Amino acid sequence: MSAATLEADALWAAVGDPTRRRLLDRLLALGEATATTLSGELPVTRQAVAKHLAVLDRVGLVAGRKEGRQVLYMVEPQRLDEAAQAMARAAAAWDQRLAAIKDLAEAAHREARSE
Amino acid sequence: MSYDSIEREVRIDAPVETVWSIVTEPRNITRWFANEAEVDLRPGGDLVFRFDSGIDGRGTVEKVEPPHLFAFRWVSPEPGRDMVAAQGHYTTVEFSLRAAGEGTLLRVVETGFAALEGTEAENAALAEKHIGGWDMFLERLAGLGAGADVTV
Repeated sequence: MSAATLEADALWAAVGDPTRRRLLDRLLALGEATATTLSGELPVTRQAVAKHLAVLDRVGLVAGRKEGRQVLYMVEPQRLDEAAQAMARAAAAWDQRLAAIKDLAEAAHREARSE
Repeated sequence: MSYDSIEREVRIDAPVETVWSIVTEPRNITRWFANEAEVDLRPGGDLVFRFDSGIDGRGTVEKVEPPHLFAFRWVSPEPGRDMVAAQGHYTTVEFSLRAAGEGTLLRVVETGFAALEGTEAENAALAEKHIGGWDMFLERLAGLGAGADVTV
C-alpha cells in the first residue's frame, strides 16, 4: 500500500470517528488542553483520549507541545478547514451526478410522452 | 458539517420508475457515472464500475426495492489507490426515490468514512512514514466515488 493512500485512509478514519470529532470540537473551544483536561470534558478515559489524540496528531489535525511534564494539544485549523472543504467538494461531486441523473430522466420522460 | 456521511437530494420532473432505470441500469449508469458498469441487481449481487483510469471499482449490491431503494457498498478506485490493500475499506451509497407530485425526489447518502480505520500494521507503517500526502487526501475526496470526470 502506498504511503499516500495509507495517509488518505488514515485521515478519513481520523475525522470519521465521532469521539475524535468531539475531541476536535472541545479542543477548538478550549484552545489548548492536555489529554487529562479533555478526558474530564468527555465520557472517555484519559487513555482513550490519548489514543485518539495520537491518531489526530499523525494526520496533522492536532499538534502537541511539551510544557513541563504535560503535553498541550491544539487544533491545526488550516488542516481542519482543508478537510471540511474537501468534504464539501465530495458533496459537490454528488450534486453533479444527481444533476446528470435529473437531465437523463427528464429527457427520457419527455421522449416517452411524445411517443 | 458531518464528516462521515454525505447527503444530497434533487427534485426530478419524471416518474419514479424512469428515475429508477437511470439510477440502476448499467446502460444508463454509464451516462452519469462510470465508463463501464456491471450490476447484478439483487442483494448480494456483484457490481463493477470502470473509470478513465482503467481501474475497477468493485462492490456488492446491498438493497434493491424497486423502484424506491437501491444501495451498494464499494471501494472507489481513486488514482494511486492500491485496490488490493484497500479491500474492506468500503463506503455505502444509498439511493432512495420518492414520488413527489408528478415527479420524483431522489436522495443519495454516502456513508462509511468512519469505518476506514487502518489496521494496526497500516497504522504502524503510517507512523513510520508520517505526514505529507495531504494533497492526495484532497484528491481522493474530490474524486470520491468517481475517480473520473462526470459529464453533466
